[in-house]
Amino acid sequence: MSEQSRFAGKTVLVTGGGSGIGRAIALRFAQEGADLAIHDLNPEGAQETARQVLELGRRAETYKVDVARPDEVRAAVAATMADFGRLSVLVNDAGINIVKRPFDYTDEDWESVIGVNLTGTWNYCRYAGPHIASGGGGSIVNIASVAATIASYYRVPYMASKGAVGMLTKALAMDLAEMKVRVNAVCPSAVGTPMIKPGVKRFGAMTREMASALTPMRRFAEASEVADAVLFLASDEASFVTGHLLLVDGGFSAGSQIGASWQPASEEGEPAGWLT
Amino acid sequence: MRLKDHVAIVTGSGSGMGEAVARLFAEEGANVLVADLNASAAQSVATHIGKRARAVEVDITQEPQVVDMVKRAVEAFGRVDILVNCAGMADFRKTEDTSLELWRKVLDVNLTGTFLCCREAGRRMIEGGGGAIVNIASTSGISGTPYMAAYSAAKHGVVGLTRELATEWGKHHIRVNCICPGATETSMLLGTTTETYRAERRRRVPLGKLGQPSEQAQAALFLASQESSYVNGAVLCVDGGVFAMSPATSEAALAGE
Repeated sequence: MSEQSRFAGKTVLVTGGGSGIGRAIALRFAQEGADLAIHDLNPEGAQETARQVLELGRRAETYKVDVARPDEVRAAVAATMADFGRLSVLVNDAGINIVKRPFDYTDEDWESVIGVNLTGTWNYCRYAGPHIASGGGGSIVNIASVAATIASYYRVPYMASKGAVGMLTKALAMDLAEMKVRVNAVCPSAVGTPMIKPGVKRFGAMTREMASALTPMRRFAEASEVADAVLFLASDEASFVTGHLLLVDGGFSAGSQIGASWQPASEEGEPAGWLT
Repeated sequence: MRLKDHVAIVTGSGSGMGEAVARLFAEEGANVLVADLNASAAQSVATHIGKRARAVEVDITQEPQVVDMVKRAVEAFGRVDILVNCAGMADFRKTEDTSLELWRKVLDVNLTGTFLCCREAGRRMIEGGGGAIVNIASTSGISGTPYMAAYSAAKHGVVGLTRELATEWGKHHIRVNCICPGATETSMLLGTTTETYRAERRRRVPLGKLGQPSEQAQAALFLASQESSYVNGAVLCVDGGVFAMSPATSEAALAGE
């Protein structure tokens, strides 16, 4: 149990709250005193998260939603407002990925990835945002990705959607500032969650070991570490932070690890060379 | 308490953001070495904090003094877990009027001084098994600010140093991040700008205000604490949304379009 309670008495809506990072986010908010509206396509996952929130002594309600559908989002947000009466924080975590070679994508693939990751995020900003503003202000945190800033292989729709979520975040931050709603995004690298699968790579499958070797901190993130960053951005501690994309990537995108096996020249005069 | 019994060195903590960081970290349970060029300012902050703090006078551009500063922290508190590099200087001047001497001084304080502090504290952190470094860069370190050639160049350097150290020291469990504050109401800002300038700046911030030192300190606390345990090499803008915004958009918004 956290000793802090930065969200006591506040209502927080988390999309994709039925698994992975979304569940970790919901539980961290509950630990700090928030009540949770769990929105997810998968009712069983959402109910399991709600059960864990209740165990922490907070209230939780679940809503089955396809975030890509504006009518469903509008209805689910209305139901949430009927249940809780107010909303302080929105976290857009729902996301999907389809890994393929670029010309193998079908029109349906493109529409489903853009629909969930980008249009879904917009739908919630559009329909939940006004309730945050009319309640005196609050915070929106989008789960983007390092894919909002750097590219990798065989995930064109995902990267395009996350890049767009990054700019959606900045643009909305401009417009909502006067309503006292801050809008920020967290950009995680690979996190050990159900969404992560070994992708088809040009040089064979990317293993967990290879991926973590390319990260300066030499490991993947825990979902709770992404959640901690979300709570910072959502809290009053970040009261002067808006329109920001916060990397939570262990240094992955700070620079190349191409030279990570390079042994620099030593003070004793040993020359530089490759580690074997 | 989020930094219970951690040992933090905070440079430039005799005033402004550094002072806010030192006070907040002490409230969160840290032992703090209050380091500043101005010995009496450092002493006064340390006295106010009480037994968790020690004051040290340091010119961060002088290598032996930086070595000494880190030694003092180890002598007083046994180790170094956190370094926050707040010491810095700003100067508004046309580039065509900037002397080589001034250029060198601004680079020396803001960039070389930060490097020396990182190197010395980093050595202790590597021995000690890890740590966290927070550099106070600036939005001038990720975009151009007119009449601040040396400052912008130095702060771009601080951002680069931050990213480089993040990639080099991650394996030693040292996280290195930086904050890019927008205009913040510190003694440095008040001393180098007019009220007219500050009013104009305020009008251009999406959140409609200048930053407070306490808001920068909260960001530093996040980056120094375990709550940011996977955040490394990040450049955190605490600027009210200015960096996200197109300069042209702000003019249009100001014109009421």
